[in-house]
Amino acid sequence: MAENRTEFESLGGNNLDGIGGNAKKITYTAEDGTKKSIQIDCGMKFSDKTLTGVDNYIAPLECDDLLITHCHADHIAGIIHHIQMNPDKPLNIYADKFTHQFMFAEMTKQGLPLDNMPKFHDCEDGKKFNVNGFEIEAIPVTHSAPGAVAFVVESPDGTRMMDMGDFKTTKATLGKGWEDDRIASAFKKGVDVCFCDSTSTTSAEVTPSYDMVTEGFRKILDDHPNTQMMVGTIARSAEQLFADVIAIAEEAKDTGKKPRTMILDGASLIQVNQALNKAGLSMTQECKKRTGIEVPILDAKSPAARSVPPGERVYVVTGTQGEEMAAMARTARGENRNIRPSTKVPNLCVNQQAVIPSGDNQAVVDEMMAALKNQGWEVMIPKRGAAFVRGETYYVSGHGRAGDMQKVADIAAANQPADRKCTFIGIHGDEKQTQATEEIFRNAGQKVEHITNAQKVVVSKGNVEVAKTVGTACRYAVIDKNDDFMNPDFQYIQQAYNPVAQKWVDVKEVEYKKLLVAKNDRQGGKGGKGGKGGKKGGRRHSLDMAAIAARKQATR
Amino acid sequence: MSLRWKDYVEIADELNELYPDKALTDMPDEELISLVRALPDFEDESEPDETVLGAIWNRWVYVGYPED
Repeated sequence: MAENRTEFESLGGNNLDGIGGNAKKITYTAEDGTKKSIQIDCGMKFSDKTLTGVDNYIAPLECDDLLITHCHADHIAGIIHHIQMNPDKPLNIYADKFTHQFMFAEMTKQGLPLDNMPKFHDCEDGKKFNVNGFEIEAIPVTHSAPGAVAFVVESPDGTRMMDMGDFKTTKATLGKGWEDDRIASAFKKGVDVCFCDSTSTTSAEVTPSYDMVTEGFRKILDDHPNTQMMVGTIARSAEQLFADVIAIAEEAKDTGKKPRTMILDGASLIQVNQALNKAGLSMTQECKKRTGIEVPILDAKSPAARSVPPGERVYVVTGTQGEEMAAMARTARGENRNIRPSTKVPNLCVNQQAVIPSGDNQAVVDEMMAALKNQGWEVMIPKRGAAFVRGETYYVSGHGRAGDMQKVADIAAANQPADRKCTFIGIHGDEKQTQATEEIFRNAGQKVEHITNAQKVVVSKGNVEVAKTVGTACRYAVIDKNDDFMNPDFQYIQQAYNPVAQKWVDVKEVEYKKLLVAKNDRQGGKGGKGGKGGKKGGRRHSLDMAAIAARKQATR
Repeated sequence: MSLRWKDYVEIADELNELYPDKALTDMPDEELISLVRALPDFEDESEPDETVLGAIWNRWVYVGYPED
């Protein structure tokens, strides 16, 4: 009989070419050879369609039981496609309550039939639960998305692995967030292997808390009294939005005036606000608890929003990267009937997200901000990589930097049992980022290993080893044949990584029965109003994969 | 074709056609239920649960609000 063992495998996210598509699998193999597995996350990785012909890539879904660390697309967006490809496969999802609410909103938004909905199980803080023989503990961490957790997974053989999820080590503004004691307690009980988010580890210092955003946004409010404001944000990163709510409350408290009114414009903001309310994290209520001030948060469609004096309006919109159909771009084109520049008071647009260096984002955002300026808006946008300055910084990341990793190393060193030292492994990053993470732990005297996608970490009787051979990584290319995100026609191609040639190769096209219902499917069919199409302006791409591969090669 | 609660996509589309300017934030469940029951195609005597009401609401927001 073989020895029992527990294996961790990165199914995606440890990429050579960037961040995304996160997924990990933990498998327990008993002495008789029987196996039990669970998966953590099933995310998506963006692709430049003009080069690849592919809209995005999703990680595989190899288990019926799925733990979700938080609601960002690079951790959850593969799930709905796998349900469409395998509608009869049972699926249990374990996550924080807000994460569930958000995922349910995403799935119903895309029209997934209720009969095909996965079973959602809320992780209750402080309460361990059992999934397929593994004992699981969800520990709150701080990230830009509320409800982010780290998972400690204890296998039937007693092996304990911790996936930190996406995290930073400062306090959260909304929800529980990071607490040193909770992480210390996990290490105290012994953690054999800890997997750490490496996204921002190449940057020095600790990523600041959202309190810094509150201070920076408060300064903007102070500098712009009686001004109509429009703030660009990423809806699901609601920690930052809540930092703005607190700033509005503190301004009202200090000046004795009534608070400005936050007005949400756009479907995803309305849905995130509802998901927060349903998860017991109402921004209005939480703000009132902290400051004693009730900041009104309205829907741009409501008559109450239209009656707010322009100088008291803080519109919140999405589209920070210039997305064509989002409220900020529509405002810049003069097509947003909810938001127009005021002629009575000054107008200020704060794009609260730095430009993500991808594709033509910079040019598109520059053009959008210039158009707003021409309409009479003063415009502000943070610079990527700018130094953090109290009272000036109004955007911070949710990912920990080198200082955050050092803190984890210090907590581990102070708490881990002498006879059960943890091995640290960098995940969620490219080679440079994961190695930077491992360097920090190595320098702190901790044990370190390095893995790539499809490489296993094997723990048997407390010994941690990385398998010398790397398996075949798998992913699915998702192609929207319509090139229209409001009326997509998906094609799925399974791909495998050839480690010798160092490239992905097509395995097969996956046939499926369409379950999802696009926004315009029914409206168009009924001859209804339809609504404006979501064409992004890109041409329709050839699906000839050989030609696409040739284009890729030519651009290297 | 008559609509039942589980037909949430079709229900949301019909609601959006009838009430395109409706603000959906803070809409009480009772109001949503009565709007659905008043749809001409709707024929379902059963009581809706939280899941189906959430599905109708989410899809209505998606089709009724500007895309972002």
